[in-house]
Amino acid sequence: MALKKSHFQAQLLCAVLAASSPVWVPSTAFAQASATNNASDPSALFDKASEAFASKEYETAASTLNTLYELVKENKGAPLEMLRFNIGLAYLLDEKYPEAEKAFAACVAQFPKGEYTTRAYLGLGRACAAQATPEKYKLAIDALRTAAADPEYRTEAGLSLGNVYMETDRNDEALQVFRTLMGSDVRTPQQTNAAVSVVTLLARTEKLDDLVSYLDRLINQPGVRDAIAWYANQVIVEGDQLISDSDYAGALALYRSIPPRYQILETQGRSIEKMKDEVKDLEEKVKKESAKPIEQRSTTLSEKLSELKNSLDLTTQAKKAIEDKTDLDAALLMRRGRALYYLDRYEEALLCFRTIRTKYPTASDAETAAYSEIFVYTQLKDSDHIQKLAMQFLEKYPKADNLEQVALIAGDGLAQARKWPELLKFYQDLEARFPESPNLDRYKFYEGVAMFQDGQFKQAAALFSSFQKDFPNSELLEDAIYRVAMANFLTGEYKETLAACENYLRRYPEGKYAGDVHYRLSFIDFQDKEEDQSDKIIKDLNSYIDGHPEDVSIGSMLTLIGDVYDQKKKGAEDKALEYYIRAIWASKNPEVTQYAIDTATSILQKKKDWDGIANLHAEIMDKMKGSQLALISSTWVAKMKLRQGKGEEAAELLAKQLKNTIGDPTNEQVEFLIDQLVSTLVPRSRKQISETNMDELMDKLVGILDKAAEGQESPTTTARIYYARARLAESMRNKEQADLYLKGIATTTPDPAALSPALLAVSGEILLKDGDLDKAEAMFQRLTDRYKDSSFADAGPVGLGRVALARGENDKALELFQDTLANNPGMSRYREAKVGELEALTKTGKLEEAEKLATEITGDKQFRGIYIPQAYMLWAEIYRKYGDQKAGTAKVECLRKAHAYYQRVYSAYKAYPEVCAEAYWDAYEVLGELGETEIATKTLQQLADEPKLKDTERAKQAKKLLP
Amino acid sequence: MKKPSFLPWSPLLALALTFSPVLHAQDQQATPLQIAFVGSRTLPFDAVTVKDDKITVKKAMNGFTQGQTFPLSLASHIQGQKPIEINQGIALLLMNKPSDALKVLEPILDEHKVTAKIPGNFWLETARAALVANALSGFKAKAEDLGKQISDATPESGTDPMVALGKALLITAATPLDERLALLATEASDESPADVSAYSSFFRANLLKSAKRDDEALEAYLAVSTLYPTGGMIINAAAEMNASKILASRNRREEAIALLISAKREGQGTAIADEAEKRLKSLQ
Repeated sequence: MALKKSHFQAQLLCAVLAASSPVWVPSTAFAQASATNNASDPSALFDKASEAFASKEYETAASTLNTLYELVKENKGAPLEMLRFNIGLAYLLDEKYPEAEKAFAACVAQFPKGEYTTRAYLGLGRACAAQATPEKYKLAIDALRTAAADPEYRTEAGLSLGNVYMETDRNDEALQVFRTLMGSDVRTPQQTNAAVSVVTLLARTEKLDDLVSYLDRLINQPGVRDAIAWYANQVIVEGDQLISDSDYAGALALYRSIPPRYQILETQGRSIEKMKDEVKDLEEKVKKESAKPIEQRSTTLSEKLSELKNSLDLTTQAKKAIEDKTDLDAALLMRRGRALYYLDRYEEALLCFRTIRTKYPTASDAETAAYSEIFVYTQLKDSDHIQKLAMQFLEKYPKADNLEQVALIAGDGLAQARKWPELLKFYQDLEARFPESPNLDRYKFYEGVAMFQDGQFKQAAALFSSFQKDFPNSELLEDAIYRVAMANFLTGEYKETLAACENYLRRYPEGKYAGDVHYRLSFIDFQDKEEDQSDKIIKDLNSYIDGHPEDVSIGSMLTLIGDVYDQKKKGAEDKALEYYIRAIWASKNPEVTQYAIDTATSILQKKKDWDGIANLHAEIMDKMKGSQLALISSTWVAKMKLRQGKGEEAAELLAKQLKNTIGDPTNEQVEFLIDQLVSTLVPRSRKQISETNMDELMDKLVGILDKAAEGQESPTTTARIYYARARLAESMRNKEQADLYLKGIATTTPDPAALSPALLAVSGEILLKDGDLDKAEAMFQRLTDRYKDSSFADAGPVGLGRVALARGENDKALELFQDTLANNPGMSRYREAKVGELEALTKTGKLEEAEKLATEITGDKQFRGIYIPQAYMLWAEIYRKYGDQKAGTAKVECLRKAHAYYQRVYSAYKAYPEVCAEAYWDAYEVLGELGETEIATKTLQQLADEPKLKDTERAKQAKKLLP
Repeated sequence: MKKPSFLPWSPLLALALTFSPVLHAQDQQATPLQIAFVGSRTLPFDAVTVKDDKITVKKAMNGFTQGQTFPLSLASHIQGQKPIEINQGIALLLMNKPSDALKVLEPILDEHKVTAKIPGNFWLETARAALVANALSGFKAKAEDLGKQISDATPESGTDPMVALGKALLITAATPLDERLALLATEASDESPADVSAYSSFFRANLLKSAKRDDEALEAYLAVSTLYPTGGMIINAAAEMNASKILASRNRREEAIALLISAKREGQGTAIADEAEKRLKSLQ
């Protein structure tokens, strides 16, 4: 985005310009011209031109210099180059750009290697750029490039060149130019100015990485330190511009680069003192100079002094502005907070607003910050904080414009959190506090809502009834009248309900609740035990449905008609079915839809209409793709098609569902659908399985899935097809093959991001078992980070804990297990996590704690299975560690206890070969330590001879050791 | 933008940063690190010694003669790019690897020592980081010695605030946690330099995290980059990365990702950026 012209022109004025007066020259240069009168006296003309420059009368300066030039152009030694240059300068300052261009061009033409040549090119470039045509921009670029070749003016020329590129939307070239200036020091005011331009360009072209680096660099640069107050202002202004352009990231980077107010004042104060010393020093030198003849005087001292005084004035003013802005820190925090909020970085935004509220309570932004804080909490749905802060806001800012809004936000928060008693109290407090409020009806209404939702139906009914009298013109009146009906309905007060419903329909025949009211009235008729109102119900509801096909209550009405046919009319199952099926497609309420599906399916089951069930659920799968209902329907489809011997048809239907989802690793339904699909292909009996050609079946499965994955082949689809193969192999009782396929997924998938939660969990386990800890960790980490809500989520932190144990990082493992147990009550891998915790406690030497946990685990039935022998093994290890700390009989006792636990495991848990074999082995070791070599050998022999353990590593080791 | 001024004065005055033709713009290419003097001449670090606020030229070059001496006040600033080792060392320090950090920082300390009192030097930042690293490693004497050197080098009188932070970090785990936390909290304030506040807040957050006080830890980490962002890019990056872990554990994935992206940006060129990248891949 190009900088605005005004900015460019502003830059135009700065830096180029040589001192506002022409360079001093010895008056002897004009000695040859005869001075008859002022108009033809070169010295007088020169003085006039000088004065004109000083008083910014550039037109006069230009014309005077032109006259002077004509007068002296034939004089030997006349400073013609200086005059030419200053003519151009005068026109430039007077914004007469064509004339300036002409003058500078003449200067460089006449003096191609002069003292002012580079500056003349600089001026030429500026004059051309200011004319802002494509042709002139081109000339400007050429001239500025020439100027930039001179190291003395590289910065200024570079700045101007960069700005011309920006004006012509050549941002990459602008950036290239600025980059050459970026790597260097920022010392002089011009460099500081250039630096701010670079910041602007980087921010506007969204080069955020470069911007952040550069800002970090800049703040320590001497030029920026010397003008820190001015710099801060410029950066904040640019940040504000970025906010209005919605570039929040860039704005935040800028706001974060500003130091605190006290630091700006301190730094600027120091540099001002230094400048004052320098001014004093220069003034003395200039005073000494004035005693010398003109031609011996320095040409630069006065200019240096003038420039320094200018800088001193500016920085003093800038410092004063910061001093006056006593709430600068709060203002910066407000800006950061705002940017963070728009970037959805709520926690950081909260910190900004909270800090303003608590630390700068009198700042001008304090009220806005307080409001913003409440608003952020609504995004986070944190009703506790919302309520607390809202009450504080209402107390502190009773006249705030957005007071009521805050009140409503707080109320909404409580309603969303379903905190009904708190909601009631909140609105009662508001009513008491603001009895004259124009929103009193709203407060009353929500008191009623709170009562209603809290089950206080009678009280709610009474309140809403009064509401009608107290607030007859409220926009909430319709809602109140409806709720009277509902409250009575829910307390079974049918007479009152009827009256209230009729009242509602009389006033709002086409109201937003009309459908529901009709439904309630029909429901009351349905409950009538004295008279059969079936025909009335059917007639009334059908009449309403026909006239209001889009009403939100259609689903309920249709199911009620279905119920009437199903329960009150004999032999009308087909009619009931018809209405239930209509309800499935019309309902907007998931519970109603579920009810309609269930009852329709039930009717079809009674009719043994397997095709009907399959077709219904296939349609649900098709029309409600991705929903939980579609998933459940898939099991029906598979079941029904299999019943009819149409497994392949089921497989095709299921594969169709996979078409759009098989490539999406975040879609957890896919593995479930694959399981269903596999089940449709697997023969039903063992005999059939043994007779089936596995390879052919596998090819069929892969063919179906390849078709589903067509056009979206990826590591995700590959992994899932392997998964399907594994499931098929497993179903065909070929576990070894199944394991191989799963291992293939774990070892060949290049990036954990390609895997779904289920496959991450499986792969992590396989890799952990194989000892590939880094890869296992990556799988579990991905599961932990990305899939917190998945049913496989728990496998993540537990897996990470086990990886840590495998690495010997026992403290880390303990922390992981304990954290996950504390933060995930009811986790699915609770037992695994507890055993992991036990192992970590044991290995970190926390033996007492470990023993306590071991007792807990082995005494708890829920750990039935492999967990109890694992716990016993660790218990034994605990005793061995106790033994290490002791000597003599105490040690022996510990070792015997350990041996007893090992014995328990190998005696009772042969169903777990690996654990059992390990128990034998450890028992053998302990017996060795006890010196009981004969029993030790016997134990080893048992291990080697036990047929169930023959494939274990320990059994093989035992065989090698035995004679 | 109608009024291009955040503060109540016209920025057009800023444009009176006039140019003097006699101020020589330096050759602006990125140059090796050197001491730049008033008048624009430069000398490499190894060409000078500094003692008692006087510079003595060791080797004749760039118009200086061997043995020439002049006041330190004539040294204008340090020219050149910040050594990448400084950020890398700070990153290691904040990733709980103080010994590795010292290995990287100490050579810089030695090389840049002569520049300690010259404006814009890199020695000060390095020394502060090294002080923290020594304190975390329990090297009391080294930390104190660095504290003294830092205090001598800075223009403000008295002890540098980093010294107090170093003392707070030297306190062992035997001291009650709340006492250690309180000490660190006093160092993070408006009266302290931003880098001291940032370090204090960061290490306070670490302590809170280890005590499983995650809410407070989160706030302390975020304070670094939100309240004290000028304390240093790398400290910001480390704090953001640690804060992201807490937010990720609370299922606030999008915010965690935003913090990691910021950490990667601010920690560019260091181990923090690498770690942030790894964590991002895992979260996205």
